[in-house]
Amino acid sequence: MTDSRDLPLDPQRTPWSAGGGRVRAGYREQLRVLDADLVGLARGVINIGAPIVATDTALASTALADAEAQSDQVQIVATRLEDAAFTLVALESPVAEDLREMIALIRALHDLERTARLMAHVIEHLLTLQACGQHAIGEDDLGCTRVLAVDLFSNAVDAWADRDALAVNDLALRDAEVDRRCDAMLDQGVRCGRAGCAAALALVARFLERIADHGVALGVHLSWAITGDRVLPELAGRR
Amino acid sequence: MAEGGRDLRTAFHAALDDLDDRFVAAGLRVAESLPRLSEAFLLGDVSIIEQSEFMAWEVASECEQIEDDGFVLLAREAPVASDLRRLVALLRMTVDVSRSASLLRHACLTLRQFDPRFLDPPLRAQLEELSRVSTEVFVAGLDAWRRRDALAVNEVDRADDAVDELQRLLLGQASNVEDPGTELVVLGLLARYYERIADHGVEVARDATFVATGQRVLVGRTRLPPFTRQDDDEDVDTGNDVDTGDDGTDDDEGDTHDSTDPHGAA
Repeated sequence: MTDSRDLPLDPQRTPWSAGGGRVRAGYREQLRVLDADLVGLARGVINIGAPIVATDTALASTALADAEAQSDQVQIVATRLEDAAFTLVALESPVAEDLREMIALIRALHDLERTARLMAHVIEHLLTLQACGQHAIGEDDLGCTRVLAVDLFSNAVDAWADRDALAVNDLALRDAEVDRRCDAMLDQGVRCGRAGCAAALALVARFLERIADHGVALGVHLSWAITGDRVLPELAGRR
Repeated sequence: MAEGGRDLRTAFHAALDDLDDRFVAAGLRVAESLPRLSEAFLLGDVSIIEQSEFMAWEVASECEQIEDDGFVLLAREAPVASDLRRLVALLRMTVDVSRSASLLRHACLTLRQFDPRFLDPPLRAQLEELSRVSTEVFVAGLDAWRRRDALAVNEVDRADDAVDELQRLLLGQASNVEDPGTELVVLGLLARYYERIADHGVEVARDATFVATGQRVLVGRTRLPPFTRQDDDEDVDTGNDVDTGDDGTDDDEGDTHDSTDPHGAA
Protein backbone atom coordinates (compact mmCIF):
# COMPACT_ATOMS: atom_id res chain seq x y z
CA MET A 1 0.00 0.00 0.00
CA THR A 2 1.34 3.39 -0.94
CA ASP A 3 2.08 5.77 1.88
CA SER A 4 0.66 9.23 1.23
CA ARG A 5 4.16 10.57 1.83
CA ASP A 6 5.32 8.71 -1.24
CA LEU A 7 2.84 10.42 -3.56
CA PRO A 8 4.47 12.82 -6.00
CA LEU A 9 2.81 15.93 -4.62
CA ASP A 10 3.83 19.28 -5.93
CA PRO A 11 3.91 21.73 -3.02
CA GLN A 12 3.33 24.61 -5.44
CA ARG A 13 0.05 23.14 -6.59
CA THR A 14 -1.39 21.45 -3.56
CA PRO A 15 -2.74 23.98 -1.09
CA TRP A 16 -3.26 21.29 1.56
CA SER A 17 0.47 20.63 1.66
CA ALA A 18 1.39 24.24 2.22
CA GLY A 19 1.98 25.37 5.76
CA GLY A 20 4.28 22.67 7.04
CA GLY A 21 3.03 19.55 8.72
CA ARG A 22 -0.52 20.73 9.57
CA VAL A 23 -3.38 18.98 7.83
CA ARG A 24 -5.19 21.28 5.39
CA ALA A 25 -3.05 24.19 6.47
CA GLY A 26 -3.29 25.64 2.97
CA TYR A 27 -7.07 25.62 3.11
CA ARG A 28 -6.99 27.19 6.55
CA GLU A 29 -4.69 29.88 5.27
CA GLN A 30 -6.97 30.68 2.33
CA LEU A 31 -9.94 30.76 4.64
CA ARG A 32 -8.05 33.11 6.94
CA VAL A 33 -7.33 35.46 4.02
CA LEU A 34 -10.98 35.38 2.95
CA ASP A 35 -12.05 36.09 6.50
CA ALA A 36 -9.63 39.02 6.74
CA ASP A 37 -11.06 40.37 3.49
CA LEU A 38 -14.56 40.03 4.90
CA VAL A 39 -13.61 41.94 8.05
CA GLY A 40 -12.00 44.62 5.89
CA LEU A 41 -15.15 44.85 3.81
CA ALA A 42 -17.25 45.08 6.97
CA ARG A 43 -15.11 47.99 8.15
CA GLY A 44 -15.86 49.63 4.81
CA VAL A 45 -19.58 49.16 5.47
CA ILE A 46 -19.19 50.79 8.89
CA ASN A 47 -17.48 53.73 7.19
CA ILE A 48 -20.57 54.23 5.04
CA GLY A 49 -22.49 54.73 8.26
CA ALA A 50 -20.16 57.43 9.60
CA PRO A 51 -22.53 60.29 8.62
CA ILE A 52 -25.39 58.43 10.33
CA VAL A 53 -23.54 58.37 13.64
CA ALA A 54 -22.44 62.00 13.43
CA THR A 55 -25.73 63.22 14.88
CA ASP A 56 -24.42 66.67 15.76
CA THR A 57 -23.39 67.46 12.20
CA ALA A 58 -25.66 68.29 9.29
CA LEU A 59 -25.41 65.85 6.41
CA ALA A 60 -23.55 67.15 3.39
CA SER A 61 -25.52 67.24 0.15
CA THR A 62 -23.03 64.80 -1.36
CA ALA A 63 -23.49 62.29 1.45
CA LEU A 64 -25.99 60.20 -0.47
CA ALA A 65 -23.90 60.00 -3.64
CA ASP A 66 -20.88 58.99 -1.56
CA ALA A 67 -22.82 56.35 0.32
CA GLU A 68 -24.33 54.88 -2.85
CA ALA A 69 -20.96 54.73 -4.59
CA GLN A 70 -19.43 52.98 -1.60
CA SER A 71 -22.38 50.65 -1.33
CA ASP A 72 -21.95 49.70 -5.01
CA GLN A 73 -18.34 48.86 -4.32
CA VAL A 74 -19.31 46.74 -1.34
CA GLN A 75 -21.60 44.74 -3.62
CA ILE A 76 -18.79 44.20 -6.09
CA VAL A 77 -16.29 43.08 -3.49
CA ALA A 78 -18.86 40.91 -1.71
CA THR A 79 -19.71 39.16 -4.98
CA ARG A 80 -16.06 38.45 -5.65
CA LEU A 81 -15.49 37.16 -2.14
CA GLU A 82 -18.55 34.95 -2.52
CA ASP A 83 -17.19 33.57 -5.79
CA ALA A 84 -13.83 32.94 -4.14
CA ALA A 85 -15.55 31.19 -1.24
CA PHE A 86 -17.55 28.87 -3.48
CA THR A 87 -14.46 28.12 -5.56
CA LEU A 88 -12.65 27.16 -2.39
CA VAL A 89 -15.58 24.96 -1.37
CA ALA A 90 -15.53 23.29 -4.78
CA LEU A 91 -11.77 22.73 -4.72
CA GLU A 92 -11.32 21.71 -1.11
CA SER A 93 -14.59 20.09 -0.06
CA PRO A 94 -14.31 21.25 3.55
CA VAL A 95 -16.25 19.44 6.25
CA ALA A 96 -17.28 20.01 9.88
CA GLU A 97 -15.88 23.22 11.39
CA ASP A 98 -14.07 24.14 8.18
CA LEU A 99 -17.34 23.97 6.28
CA ARG A 100 -19.28 25.82 8.96
CA GLU A 101 -16.79 28.66 8.93
CA MET A 102 -17.03 28.93 5.17
CA ILE A 103 -20.82 28.87 5.21
CA ALA A 104 -20.93 31.47 7.98
CA LEU A 105 -18.66 33.64 5.88
CA ILE A 106 -20.91 33.31 2.83
CA ARG A 107 -23.97 34.17 4.91
CA ALA A 108 -22.17 37.12 6.49
CA LEU A 109 -21.38 38.52 3.05
CA HIS A 110 -25.09 38.78 2.38
CA ASP A 111 -25.56 40.73 5.60
CA LEU A 112 -22.76 43.12 4.65
CA GLU A 113 -24.25 43.76 1.21
CA ARG A 114 -27.65 44.49 2.66
CA THR A 115 -26.30 46.66 5.46
CA ALA A 116 -24.31 48.77 3.02
CA ARG A 117 -27.46 49.34 0.98
CA LEU A 118 -29.50 50.11 4.09
CA MET A 119 -26.93 52.65 5.28
CA ALA A 120 -27.30 54.48 1.96
CA HIS A 121 -31.08 54.41 2.33
CA VAL A 122 -30.87 55.82 5.84
CA ILE A 123 -28.73 58.69 4.59
CA GLU A 124 -31.19 59.33 1.75
CA HIS A 125 -34.10 59.69 4.15
CA LEU A 126 -32.10 61.60 6.76
CA LEU A 127 -31.48 64.17 4.04
CA THR A 128 -35.23 64.34 3.49
CA LEU A 129 -35.76 64.88 7.20
CA GLN A 130 -33.05 67.51 7.23
CA ALA A 131 -34.70 69.31 4.33
CA CYS A 132 -37.99 69.56 6.20
CA GLY A 133 -36.34 70.78 9.40
CA GLN A 134 -36.57 67.58 11.35
CA HIS A 135 -34.81 68.95 14.42
CA ALA A 136 -37.97 69.44 16.45
CA ILE A 137 -39.39 65.99 15.92
CA GLY A 138 -38.16 63.28 18.23
CA GLU A 139 -34.57 64.15 17.62
CA ASP A 140 -33.47 62.42 20.80
CA ASP A 141 -34.92 59.11 19.77
CA LEU A 142 -33.77 59.49 16.20
CA GLY A 143 -30.25 60.51 17.19
CA CYS A 144 -29.91 57.76 19.81
CA THR A 145 -31.28 55.09 17.52
CA ARG A 146 -28.92 56.10 14.72
CA VAL A 147 -25.94 55.69 17.03
CA LEU A 148 -27.26 52.52 18.67
CA ALA A 149 -27.96 50.71 15.42
CA VAL A 150 -24.67 51.54 13.73
CA ASP A 151 -22.70 50.85 16.93
CA LEU A 152 -24.40 47.50 17.28
CA PHE A 153 -23.38 46.57 13.76
CA SER A 154 -19.86 47.84 14.39
CA ASN A 155 -19.59 45.77 17.59
CA ALA A 156 -20.85 42.72 15.71
CA VAL A 157 -17.98 43.16 13.25
CA ASP A 158 -15.53 43.43 16.17
CA ALA A 159 -17.01 40.25 17.66
CA TRP A 160 -16.56 38.53 14.31
CA ALA A 161 -12.94 39.65 14.08
CA ASP A 162 -12.32 38.48 17.69
CA ARG A 163 -14.14 35.15 17.15
CA ASP A 164 -16.36 35.96 20.13
CA ALA A 165 -19.13 33.37 19.95
CA LEU A 166 -20.90 34.70 23.03
CA ALA A 167 -21.32 38.24 21.74
CA VAL A 168 -24.60 37.26 20.10
CA ASN A 169 -26.39 37.44 23.48
CA ASP A 170 -25.31 41.00 24.11
CA LEU A 171 -26.06 41.98 20.53
CA ALA A 172 -29.57 40.54 20.78
CA LEU A 173 -30.27 42.49 23.98
CA ARG A 174 -29.15 45.71 22.35
CA ASP A 175 -31.19 44.89 19.27
CA ALA A 176 -34.28 44.75 21.47
CA GLU A 177 -33.48 48.30 22.61
CA VAL A 178 -33.10 49.43 18.99
CA ASP A 179 -36.47 47.84 18.16
CA ARG A 180 -38.09 49.65 21.07
CA ARG A 181 -36.71 53.00 19.96
CA CYS A 182 -37.71 52.35 16.36
CA ASP A 183 -41.29 51.71 17.47
CA ALA A 184 -41.16 55.06 19.31
CA MET A 185 -39.93 56.71 16.12
CA LEU A 186 -42.86 55.24 14.18
CA ASP A 187 -45.22 56.74 16.75
CA GLN A 188 -43.49 60.08 16.39
CA GLY A 189 -43.86 59.84 12.63
CA VAL A 190 -47.59 59.33 13.07
CA ARG A 191 -47.86 62.37 15.35
CA CYS A 192 -45.55 64.75 13.53
CA GLY A 193 -48.22 66.13 11.21
CA ARG A 194 -45.93 66.75 8.26
CA ALA A 195 -46.26 64.38 5.34
CA GLY A 196 -42.66 64.28 4.11
CA CYS A 197 -41.29 63.87 7.62
CA ALA A 198 -43.71 61.17 8.65
CA ALA A 199 -42.87 58.81 5.81
CA ALA A 200 -39.12 59.48 6.02
CA LEU A 201 -39.07 58.94 9.78
CA ALA A 202 -40.93 55.65 9.43
CA LEU A 203 -38.52 54.40 6.79
CA VAL A 204 -35.43 55.49 8.70
CA ALA A 205 -36.79 53.60 11.72
CA ARG A 206 -37.27 50.48 9.62
CA PHE A 207 -33.84 50.70 8.04
CA LEU A 208 -32.07 51.24 11.36
CA GLU A 209 -33.95 48.30 12.80
CA ARG A 210 -32.72 46.16 9.90
CA ILE A 211 -29.13 47.34 10.25
CA ALA A 212 -29.24 46.18 13.87
CA ASP A 213 -30.85 42.90 12.78
CA HIS A 214 -28.00 42.28 10.35
CA GLY A 215 -25.54 42.94 13.19
CA VAL A 216 -27.27 40.28 15.28
CA ALA A 217 -27.23 37.96 12.26
CA LEU A 218 -23.45 38.31 12.09
CA GLY A 219 -23.29 37.24 15.74
CA VAL A 220 -25.58 34.27 15.04
CA HIS A 221 -23.49 33.10 12.06
CA LEU A 222 -20.31 33.39 14.08
CA SER A 223 -21.75 31.50 17.03
CA TRP A 224 -22.87 28.73 14.67
CA ALA A 225 -19.49 28.57 12.95
CA ILE A 226 -17.68 28.14 16.26
CA THR A 227 -20.10 26.02 18.27
CA GLY A 228 -22.25 24.32 15.65
CA ASP A 229 -25.38 25.48 17.49
CA ARG A 230 -27.87 27.60 15.63
CA VAL A 231 -28.85 30.37 18.02
CA LEU A 232 -32.28 31.85 17.47
CA PRO A 233 -31.81 35.64 17.43
CA GLU A 234 -35.07 36.17 19.30
CA LEU A 235 -33.86 33.92 22.13
CA ALA A 236 -30.20 34.90 22.20
CA GLY A 237 -30.54 37.79 24.61
CA ARG A 238 -32.56 35.76 27.11
CA ARG A 239 -29.81 33.23 27.81
CA MET B 1 -23.27 8.46 -5.50
CA ALA B 2 -22.47 5.59 -7.80
CA GLU B 3 -25.88 3.92 -7.69
CA GLY B 4 -28.10 4.36 -10.70
CA GLY B 5 -26.31 2.34 -13.33
CA ARG B 6 -24.15 4.01 -15.91
CA ASP B 7 -25.18 7.59 -15.21
CA LEU B 8 -22.68 9.49 -13.18
CA ARG B 9 -23.76 11.09 -9.92
CA THR B 10 -27.37 10.01 -10.32
CA ALA B 11 -28.10 10.12 -6.61
CA PHE B 12 -26.58 13.57 -6.36
CA HIS B 13 -28.69 14.87 -9.21
CA ALA B 14 -31.79 13.35 -7.67
CA ALA B 15 -30.99 15.07 -4.39
CA LEU B 16 -30.40 18.36 -6.20
CA ASP B 17 -33.71 18.00 -8.05
CA ASP B 18 -35.44 17.30 -4.77
CA LEU B 19 -33.92 20.42 -3.26
CA ASP B 20 -35.01 22.41 -6.30
CA ASP B 21 -38.57 21.05 -6.06
CA ARG B 22 -38.78 21.99 -2.42
CA PHE B 23 -37.49 25.47 -3.17
CA VAL B 24 -40.05 25.95 -5.96
CA ALA B 25 -42.81 24.68 -3.65
CA ALA B 26 -41.80 27.26 -1.03
CA GLY B 27 -41.71 29.96 -3.70
CA LEU B 28 -45.12 28.95 -5.00
CA ARG B 29 -46.50 29.08 -1.47
CA VAL B 30 -45.49 32.75 -1.36
CA ALA B 31 -46.65 33.37 -4.94
CA GLU B 32 -50.04 31.88 -4.15
CA SER B 33 -50.36 33.82 -0.91
CA LEU B 34 -49.44 37.19 -2.40
CA PRO B 35 -52.61 37.93 -4.41
CA ARG B 36 -54.90 36.20 -1.92
CA LEU B 37 -53.58 37.99 1.15
CA SER B 38 -53.17 41.30 -0.66
CA GLU B 39 -56.79 41.19 -1.77
CA ALA B 40 -57.98 40.32 1.73
CA PHE B 41 -55.70 43.02 3.11
CA LEU B 42 -57.40 45.68 1.02
CA LEU B 43 -60.73 44.45 2.35
CA GLY B 44 -59.45 44.99 5.88
CA ASP B 45 -59.77 41.31 6.80
CA VAL B 46 -57.73 40.99 10.01
CA SER B 47 -57.97 37.21 9.98
CA ILE B 48 -55.17 37.20 7.41
CA ILE B 49 -52.69 38.34 10.05
CA GLU B 50 -52.65 34.87 11.55
CA GLN B 51 -52.61 33.24 8.12
CA SER B 52 -49.68 35.33 7.00
CA GLU B 53 -47.73 34.57 10.17
CA PHE B 54 -48.26 30.87 9.69
CA MET B 55 -47.33 31.07 6.01
CA ALA B 56 -44.15 33.04 6.76
CA TRP B 57 -43.15 30.63 9.52
CA GLU B 58 -43.73 27.61 7.25
CA VAL B 59 -41.78 29.11 4.37
CA ALA B 60 -38.92 30.24 6.63
CA SER B 61 -38.68 26.79 8.21
CA GLU B 62 -38.66 25.08 4.84
CA CYS B 63 -36.07 27.48 3.46
CA GLU B 64 -33.87 26.91 6.49
CA GLN B 65 -34.13 23.17 5.96
CA ILE B 66 -33.36 23.54 2.25
CA GLU B 67 -30.33 25.61 3.14
CA ASP B 68 -29.07 23.05 5.64
CA ASP B 69 -29.60 20.17 3.21
CA GLY B 70 -27.94 22.19 0.45
CA PHE B 71 -24.82 22.72 2.51
CA VAL B 72 -24.70 19.03 3.41
CA LEU B 73 -24.93 18.25 -0.30
CA LEU B 74 -22.16 20.72 -0.95
CA ALA B 75 -19.95 19.08 1.66
CA ARG B 76 -20.63 15.50 0.60
CA GLU B 77 -20.72 15.80 -3.16
CA ALA B 78 -18.36 18.66 -3.99
CA PRO B 79 -20.29 19.65 -7.11
CA VAL B 80 -18.61 21.62 -9.87
CA ALA B 81 -19.58 23.73 -12.92
CA SER B 82 -23.33 23.94 -13.61
CA ASP B 83 -24.20 21.68 -10.66
CA LEU B 84 -22.31 23.99 -8.32
CA ARG B 85 -23.94 27.06 -9.87
CA ARG B 86 -27.37 25.53 -9.42
CA LEU B 87 -26.73 24.66 -5.80
CA VAL B 88 -25.23 28.07 -5.08
CA ALA B 89 -28.22 29.76 -6.71
CA LEU B 90 -30.65 27.65 -4.67
CA LEU B 91 -28.89 28.60 -1.47
CA ARG B 92 -29.09 32.27 -2.39
CA MET B 93 -32.71 32.13 -3.48
CA THR B 94 -33.95 30.58 -0.24
CA VAL B 95 -33.14 33.95 1.32
CA ASP B 96 -35.22 35.72 -1.35
CA VAL B 97 -38.25 33.51 -0.87
CA SER B 98 -38.01 33.52 2.89
CA ARG B 99 -37.70 37.31 2.99
CA SER B 100 -40.61 37.76 0.58
CA ALA B 101 -42.82 35.67 2.85
CA SER B 102 -41.68 37.75 5.80
CA LEU B 103 -42.35 41.00 3.95
CA LEU B 104 -45.86 39.85 3.09
CA ARG B 105 -46.41 39.06 6.76
CA HIS B 106 -45.21 42.56 7.67
CA ALA B 107 -47.63 44.05 5.15
CA CYS B 108 -50.52 42.09 6.70
CA LEU B 109 -49.46 43.12 10.21
CA THR B 110 -50.07 46.76 9.33
CA LEU B 111 -53.80 45.93 9.54
CA ARG B 112 -53.35 46.35 13.28
CA GLN B 113 -52.59 50.00 12.67
CA PHE B 114 -55.02 51.04 9.96
CA ASP B 115 -57.95 49.91 7.86
CA PRO B 116 -57.32 50.10 4.10
CA ARG B 117 -61.08 50.23 3.41
CA PHE B 118 -61.10 53.84 4.56
CA LEU B 119 -58.27 54.94 2.31
CA ASP B 120 -59.02 57.59 -0.30
CA PRO B 121 -60.13 55.76 -3.47
CA PRO B 122 -57.16 56.97 -5.57
CA LEU B 123 -54.70 55.88 -2.87
CA ARG B 124 -56.43 52.57 -2.51
CA ALA B 125 -56.28 52.04 -6.27
CA GLN B 126 -52.56 52.86 -6.27
CA LEU B 127 -51.90 50.41 -3.46
CA GLU B 128 -53.91 47.74 -5.22
CA GLU B 129 -51.95 48.30 -8.41
CA LEU B 130 -48.64 48.19 -6.56
CA SER B 131 -49.46 44.90 -4.87
CA ARG B 132 -50.65 43.45 -8.19
CA VAL B 133 -47.55 44.41 -10.16
CA SER B 134 -45.20 43.36 -7.35
CA THR B 135 -46.88 39.98 -7.28
CA GLU B 136 -46.46 39.69 -11.05
CA VAL B 137 -42.76 40.44 -10.81
CA PHE B 138 -42.24 37.90 -8.04
CA VAL B 139 -44.15 35.22 -9.96
CA ALA B 140 -42.28 36.06 -13.18
CA GLY B 141 -38.98 35.64 -11.35
CA LEU B 142 -40.02 32.28 -10.01
CA ASP B 143 -41.24 31.21 -13.47
CA ALA B 144 -37.89 32.22 -14.95
CA TRP B 145 -36.21 29.88 -12.51
CA ARG B 146 -38.61 27.02 -13.21
CA ARG B 147 -38.11 27.36 -16.96
CA ARG B 148 -34.38 28.10 -16.65
CA ASP B 149 -35.10 31.12 -18.82
CA ALA B 150 -31.82 33.01 -19.01
CA LEU B 151 -33.37 35.94 -20.88
CA ALA B 152 -36.35 36.55 -18.64
CA VAL B 153 -34.32 38.68 -16.24
CA ASN B 154 -34.43 41.64 -18.62
CA GLU B 155 -38.21 41.53 -18.79
CA VAL B 156 -38.56 41.00 -15.05
CA ASP B 157 -36.17 43.85 -14.36
CA ARG B 158 -38.21 46.19 -16.57
CA ALA B 159 -41.37 45.16 -14.73
CA ASP B 160 -39.56 45.95 -11.50
CA ASP B 161 -38.94 49.46 -12.79
CA ALA B 162 -42.72 49.81 -13.05
CA VAL B 163 -42.98 48.79 -9.38
CA ASP B 164 -40.46 51.45 -8.40
CA GLU B 165 -42.45 54.02 -10.35
CA LEU B 166 -45.70 52.93 -8.72
CA GLN B 167 -44.05 53.17 -5.33
CA ARG B 168 -42.97 56.72 -6.06
CA LEU B 169 -46.47 57.62 -7.25
CA LEU B 170 -48.06 56.13 -4.17
CA LEU B 171 -45.73 57.97 -1.83
CA GLY B 172 -46.19 61.19 -3.78
CA GLN B 173 -49.95 60.89 -3.62
CA ALA B 174 -49.89 59.91 0.05
CA SER B 175 -47.77 62.91 0.98
CA ASN B 176 -50.50 65.20 -0.32
CA VAL B 177 -53.06 64.06 2.22
CA GLU B 178 -54.21 66.88 4.45
CA ASP B 179 -53.81 65.17 7.79
CA PRO B 180 -50.82 62.83 7.66
CA GLY B 181 -50.66 60.33 10.42
CA THR B 182 -50.80 56.58 10.75
CA GLU B 183 -52.09 56.26 7.20
CA LEU B 184 -49.07 57.92 5.65
CA VAL B 185 -46.53 56.09 7.79
CA VAL B 186 -48.13 52.73 7.02
CA LEU B 187 -48.43 53.50 3.32
CA GLY B 188 -44.74 54.37 3.23
CA LEU B 189 -43.87 51.04 4.80
CA LEU B 190 -46.29 49.08 2.61
CA ALA B 191 -44.81 50.62 -0.53
CA ARG B 192 -41.36 49.51 0.59
CA TYR B 193 -42.51 45.99 1.46
CA TYR B 194 -44.06 45.45 -1.95
CA GLU B 195 -41.08 47.02 -3.70
CA ARG B 196 -38.77 44.61 -1.90
CA ILE B 197 -40.93 41.61 -2.80
CA ALA B 198 -40.57 42.61 -6.46
CA ASP B 199 -36.81 43.04 -5.98
CA HIS B 200 -36.57 39.50 -4.66
CA GLY B 201 -38.39 38.34 -7.81
CA VAL B 202 -35.71 40.04 -9.91
CA GLU B 203 -33.04 38.31 -7.84
CA VAL B 204 -34.56 34.91 -8.55
CA ALA B 205 -34.66 35.67 -12.29
CA ARG B 206 -31.07 36.82 -12.07
CA ASP B 207 -30.05 33.53 -10.50
CA ALA B 208 -31.84 31.67 -13.31
CA THR B 209 -29.56 33.47 -15.75
CA PHE B 210 -26.52 32.71 -13.59
CA VAL B 211 -27.30 29.00 -13.64
CA ALA B 212 -27.95 28.90 -17.38
CA THR B 213 -25.04 31.06 -18.51
CA GLY B 214 -22.61 31.41 -15.62
CA GLN B 215 -22.90 35.20 -15.98
CA ARG B 216 -24.16 37.58 -13.34
CA VAL B 217 -26.24 40.10 -15.18
CA LEU B 218 -26.60 43.68 -14.06
CA VAL B 219 -30.02 44.82 -13.02
CA GLY B 220 -31.63 48.01 -11.79
CA ARG B 221 -29.29 50.88 -11.08
CA THR B 222 -26.09 49.00 -11.92
CA ARG B 223 -27.20 48.01 -15.39
CA LEU B 224 -26.72 51.63 -16.41
CA PRO B 225 -23.31 52.52 -17.78
CA PRO B 226 -21.08 53.97 -15.06
CA PHE B 227 -20.99 57.44 -16.60
CA THR B 228 -24.72 57.80 -16.11
CA ARG B 229 -24.50 56.88 -12.44
CA GLN B 230 -22.81 58.39 -9.47
CA ASP B 231 -19.05 58.34 -9.43
CA ASP B 232 -18.03 54.70 -9.04
CA ASP B 233 -14.32 55.20 -8.83
CA GLU B 234 -14.17 55.40 -5.10
CA ASP B 235 -13.12 52.07 -3.67
CA VAL B 236 -14.26 50.81 -0.35
CA ASP B 237 -11.21 50.13 1.72
CA THR B 238 -11.38 46.45 2.54
CA GLY B 239 -8.11 46.74 4.30
CA ASN B 240 -6.81 43.68 2.54
CA ASP B 241 -5.98 44.75 -0.96
CA VAL B 242 -8.97 43.08 -2.50
CA ASP B 243 -9.14 43.78 -6.18
CA THR B 244 -12.32 45.76 -6.44
CA GLY B 245 -12.23 46.03 -10.17
CA ASP B 246 -12.22 49.19 -12.16
CA ASP B 247 -15.49 50.53 -13.37
CA GLY B 248 -18.17 48.30 -11.97
CA THR B 249 -19.13 46.93 -15.36
CA ASP B 250 -17.78 43.44 -14.93
CA ASP B 251 -20.16 40.64 -15.70
CA ASP B 252 -19.86 39.32 -12.20
CA GLU B 253 -20.80 42.58 -10.56
CA GLY B 254 -23.15 42.13 -7.67
CA ASP B 255 -26.72 43.21 -7.43
CA THR B 256 -27.22 46.82 -6.58
CA HIS B 257 -30.64 47.52 -7.84
CA ASP B 258 -32.52 49.81 -5.61
CA SER B 259 -33.70 47.81 -2.73
CA THR B 260 -34.48 48.58 0.81
CA ASP B 261 -35.17 45.51 2.74
CA PRO B 262 -37.47 46.35 5.57
CA HIS B 263 -37.75 43.18 7.88
CA GLY B 264 -39.14 43.74 7.47
CA ALA B 265 -36.63 44.96 5.31
CA ALA B 266 -33.97 42.68 3.64
